[in-house]
Amino acid sequence: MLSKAIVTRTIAIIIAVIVIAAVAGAAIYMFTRPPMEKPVIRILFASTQLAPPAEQAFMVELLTEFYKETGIDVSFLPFGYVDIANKLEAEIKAGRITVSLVGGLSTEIDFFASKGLLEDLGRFGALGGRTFLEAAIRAVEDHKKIYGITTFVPWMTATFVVVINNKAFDYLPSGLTKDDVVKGTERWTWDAMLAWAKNIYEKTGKRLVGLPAGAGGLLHRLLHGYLYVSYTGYQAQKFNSPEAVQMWGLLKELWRYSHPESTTWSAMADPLLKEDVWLAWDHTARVISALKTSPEKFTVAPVPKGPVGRGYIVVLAGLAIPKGAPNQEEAWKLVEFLTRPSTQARIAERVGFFPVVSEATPAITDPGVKKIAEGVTAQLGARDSIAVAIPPLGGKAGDFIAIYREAFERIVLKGEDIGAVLSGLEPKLKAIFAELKMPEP
Amino acid sequence: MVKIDLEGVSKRFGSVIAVDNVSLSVSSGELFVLLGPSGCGKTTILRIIAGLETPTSGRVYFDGVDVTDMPSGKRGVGMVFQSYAVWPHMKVYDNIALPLRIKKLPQSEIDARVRSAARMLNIENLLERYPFQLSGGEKQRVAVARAIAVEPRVLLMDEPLSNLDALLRVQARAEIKRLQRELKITTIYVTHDQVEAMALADRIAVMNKGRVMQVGTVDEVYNKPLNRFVAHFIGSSMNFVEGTITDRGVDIGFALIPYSSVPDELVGKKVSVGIRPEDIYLEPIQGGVVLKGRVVLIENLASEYIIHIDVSGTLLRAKTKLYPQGEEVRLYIHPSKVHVFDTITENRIHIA
Amino acid sequence: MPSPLRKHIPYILVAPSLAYLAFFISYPIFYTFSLALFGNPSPMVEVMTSPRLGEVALYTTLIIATVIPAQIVIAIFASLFFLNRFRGRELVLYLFIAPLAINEVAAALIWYTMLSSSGFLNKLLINTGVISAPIYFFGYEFIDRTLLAIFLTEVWRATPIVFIIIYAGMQMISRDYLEAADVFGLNLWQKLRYIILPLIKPYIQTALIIRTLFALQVVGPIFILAGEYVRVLATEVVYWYSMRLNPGVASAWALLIGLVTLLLGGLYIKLLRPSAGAT
Repeated sequence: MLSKAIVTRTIAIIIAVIVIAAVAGAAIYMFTRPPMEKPVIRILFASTQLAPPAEQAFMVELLTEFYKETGIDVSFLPFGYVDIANKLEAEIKAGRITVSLVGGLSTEIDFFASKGLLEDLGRFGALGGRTFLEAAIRAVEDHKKIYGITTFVPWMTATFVVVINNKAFDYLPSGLTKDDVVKGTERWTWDAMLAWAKNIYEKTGKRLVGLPAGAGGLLHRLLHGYLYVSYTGYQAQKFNSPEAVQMWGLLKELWRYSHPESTTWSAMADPLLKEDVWLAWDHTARVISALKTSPEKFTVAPVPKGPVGRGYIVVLAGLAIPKGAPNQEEAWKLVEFLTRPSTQARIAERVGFFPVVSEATPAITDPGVKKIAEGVTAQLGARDSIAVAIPPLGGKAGDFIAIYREAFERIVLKGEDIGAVLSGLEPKLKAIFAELKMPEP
Repeated sequence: MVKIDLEGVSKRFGSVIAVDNVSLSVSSGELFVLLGPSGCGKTTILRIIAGLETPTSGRVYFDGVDVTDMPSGKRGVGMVFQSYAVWPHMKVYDNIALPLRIKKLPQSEIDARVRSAARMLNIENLLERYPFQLSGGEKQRVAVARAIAVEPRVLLMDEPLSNLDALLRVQARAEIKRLQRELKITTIYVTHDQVEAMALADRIAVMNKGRVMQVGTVDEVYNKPLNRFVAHFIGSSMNFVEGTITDRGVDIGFALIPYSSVPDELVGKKVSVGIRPEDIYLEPIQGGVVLKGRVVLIENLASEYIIHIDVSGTLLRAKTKLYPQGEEVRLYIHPSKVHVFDTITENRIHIA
Repeated sequence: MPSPLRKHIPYILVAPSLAYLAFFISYPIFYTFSLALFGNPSPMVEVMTSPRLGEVALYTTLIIATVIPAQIVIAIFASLFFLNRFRGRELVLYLFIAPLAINEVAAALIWYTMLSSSGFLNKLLINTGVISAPIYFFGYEFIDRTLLAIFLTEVWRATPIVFIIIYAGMQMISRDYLEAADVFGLNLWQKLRYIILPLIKPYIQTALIIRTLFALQVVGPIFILAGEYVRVLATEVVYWYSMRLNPGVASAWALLIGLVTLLLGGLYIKLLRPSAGAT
């Protein structure tokens, strides 16, 4: 047993050490602290995007520059979508709002707006020196129609594009030019792509179209967000329709010229680099490494269009100011900073989201990223485009995806009758939306 | 029954020479014992004969046929391992029968041979048992039964009794001897126990450090050991005293052992003189040399006594049935029972 | 110490372990059971009547029934080989068991890269003029060859663990047993049949159980090599849990894996009961 005296002494020594350390620390701080300046304005920026550590670090870097420029100290707080929603609601209800700026996907902002949690940004006027892309403007307009206010400023975007190995341009089918493809003209259709793939196959003997149909691939997005929209005008509404049958016929045909290993690919970067394929459709994030490695080899194009239009999914992130937020002027300054072409270019290079202002793309220095940005710009700027968002289905998202993938497997891979498959699956699809009480997109 | 010849057989394991240029001849039907301390190479020789080792150089002949490169299984040898190597997952019957089944003998023949071998070894009641149900002695019998059931041309035994307790060992060795006499199989038996060797052997090869020191009958190696090692290894441990050869005999300091015809060239040679305890007498013998000594210690072995005697500072051991009377004793040694070895070469010096 | 307290001490001492077992083992297991069995419709019923069940049963059986026997046979012969002492044995041994250190997904990627249409094997064969067009192993059209690739990958990657178990077993066999077999004229095949195999039965049993357990859980390699089109029990669990966000059906499949494992394990124990005294 320790004697009581020793215990007491030990405690006394520990306390003494702590006191001395505290006094010394305070003294050092007093002598070395920075001189007082004008009061620093601090604002909170909560975001559902850019949460991964590397992306956060980039944001901190970016916001340090913003501080040097404006003297506004921004704290970047990555939050889950649900957490932000709860936080905003609670703060607004309590009348003590701390968050000055919110970053999130357009669908998330839509939810905030529907709850009346957002300021009208219309009063800040237009941001000069930048032209927002067609699709981005349309998303803002859509909100305005519903809520009567400007709910957000477009921040950054991601989408799916077609990446083309430049060798493929030697095999363009008659009636299609490189310019058509790159600019996304009337002639750049899914039928034209099929003709191109067929031509390549006939001339080279190789099936050089690549689709991400592997276990982790995003093929289902091609189906519901691209082909269905381009052919029927809707993602789900006309799932089983003559237009849909026509679309599946095209895909079946296209599959004949697609690389057989497509069913094992979850990202197209690697097959593109290895030249297993010349024409590939995939998400920007899943092809960017190929473009960064060999930018000279590839061209990035908008997706082809169908009879109804150029259907595509756009993932758009925007910036919004909560109702009654503190330091709104400063928050707006940050919005200006983040949408500035030079900042947008840097975001594209560092985190793989693409600019929403057309002036940013020329400012991108990495040639691979620039090429994708050009493709994205062309796609988002196209007049005939039908941009859609991925329907927010929560727990039913898996079932929704599975229906399109099953249709692909049975129609394209197993060669089952199109009508029969679609009729069989349609009730399941309708049931999902019925259960969620959502209109079919 | 074959005659086995080893011709200049050597075996190296890396830099270690386990067997060093050994030539041996084992007669047909003979029980030949390889005797030596552990590590002397006796087991290696047995394994070479069995075909489990290939000699580094030299040849092995069975009845004049070179079998050096013949696989073990084709040599027609039966072997009893020190560990018995009775296959643990088979019943005794199957242990004995498996080698016969491999030879594709008819079922009736196999059964007959298994039962006959079992009868010979007195293990008929154990045939349906598994090895883990057997005692050491029983396992040893199974191993022997398995070896003789194949009707081998040569029976090889590698210290088969070393894992048995003393009493069982004496019994088992008698049985092996009887069995060998009955079957007349050329048998090579490895042991480090000289008593066992003498009890069993027709002839013994005494080995040391990979070399054969002496080959001979029990009497030969006992009475005329060719070198100090054999003299020391065979029989109860010999008394050794240092001495010098003179023209009248061997001077061992406290006595002179007289020899009549000492060759001139031997005079002055330093020698080790060996006298077995049983060759030292306490009562007078014809032509014996007399020594005077003092009794230091008496070990009573019931049937005889080992008496430790100080003779002018040298300690000698005598084995006798007589209990010495008093401290001061007279000892008698016969010159013909004295073994004289060159101190340097340790080889026997023939002197009479 | 007073005796009533002493009587309770063992229970007090094991209590933390029991609590641990209850919380971290029993609770999840029962939770899985309830997830799998209860619901409307019951996920288990859904699984048992699912059109995928036949496909899953076929592929699972095909993979288990080819991979595991091949691994056991290869491991036995490799063990026999490595029982010989030869120059460079250690190095060859390490190379042979090296795949053990490779993650299963990495192993699948290695084989994918090697066997894909633009992979190492096809390049080699084309450059040496053996073939003029690539041989496809992957893709839905070549699903039978994909199964071969899965077989090769699994055998390559997981045979070492079987080998280590069986090699350990063989090393336990006293050299005398084998030498006795040599002396009594058993050739290599007979030694294997009559001596070695019976003696390593318990090790084969262990290897079989461990391998079956793990083979039933392989997901990553199958997704990599076959996409989602070779459906086995384990890939169904992952598919229903993480892609369909349906823990109930996932649990039902998981429960099936448990049942199959239990059944096969019992079968191995019954079939490979070690002979009396063989230990």
